[in-house]
Amino acid sequence: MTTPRRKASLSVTITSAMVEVRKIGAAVRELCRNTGFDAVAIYHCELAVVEAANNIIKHAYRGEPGHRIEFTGTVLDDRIILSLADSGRPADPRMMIPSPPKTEGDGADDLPQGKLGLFLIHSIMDEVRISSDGGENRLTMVRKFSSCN
Amino acid sequence: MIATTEKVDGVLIVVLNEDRLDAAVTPLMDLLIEQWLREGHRYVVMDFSAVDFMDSTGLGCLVMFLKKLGDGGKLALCGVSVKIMSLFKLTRMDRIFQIHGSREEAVAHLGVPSQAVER
Repeated sequence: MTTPRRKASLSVTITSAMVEVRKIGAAVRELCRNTGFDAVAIYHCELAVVEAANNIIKHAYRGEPGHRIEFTGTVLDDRIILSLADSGRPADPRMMIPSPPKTEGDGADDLPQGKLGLFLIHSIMDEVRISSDGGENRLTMVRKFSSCN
Repeated sequence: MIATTEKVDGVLIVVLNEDRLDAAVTPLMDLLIEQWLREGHRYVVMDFSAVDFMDSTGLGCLVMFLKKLGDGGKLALCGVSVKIMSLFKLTRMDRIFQIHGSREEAVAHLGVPSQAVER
């Protein structure tokens, strides 16, 4: 078995402000140019990373500005690996299990207004891993090219 | 300005000018929605033609609008790109929102009562 070859990689560091997340989104789009993904698949990759970065700002940093978020993306022969690192409050692994949004209730009152981010990340990505070590949290998301065909 | 509006035959037409409906703009969007509700608009078409990216906070903003309109109002969307449509489908919100191909079609499907047209 051969080790997948690295074709491209990109890193961007931002501070914890929602408007800054757009820089990470632009980096994901740039990186995805090396994947052969179509426009929808590129959007999905950007969406998953943006959702994860939004969650870091909202939950790990509790909305406080000025904290570091580092994005690293790597394109291999058969997959794209998208990773975010922060030094905020670690995520509870139990919270990483998403449930599908309820859209079949008695009316609009039952519809979810938030907490769709994790569901989207897991729906889009083939692998989602979370780790915390030495005060750094890392979320790693993998999308295989074969799942976009 | 993130959106421009006009009233046509009792329907508030909202044309979104931002290419991204994300967490950076949804606080402003929430304020606009509150303003439209205060002004008494109950039949609304939102034109997404300019929107190239939307995340779950943008979607949550629309859900909030739908909830606040309640049974006395209607919201329809048009100009939704294939990318944004995929978000509605992933979250199953395509079953909830009225999404139409054109502004005219969206207005027609709202079925505005005549008393609302006269306002």
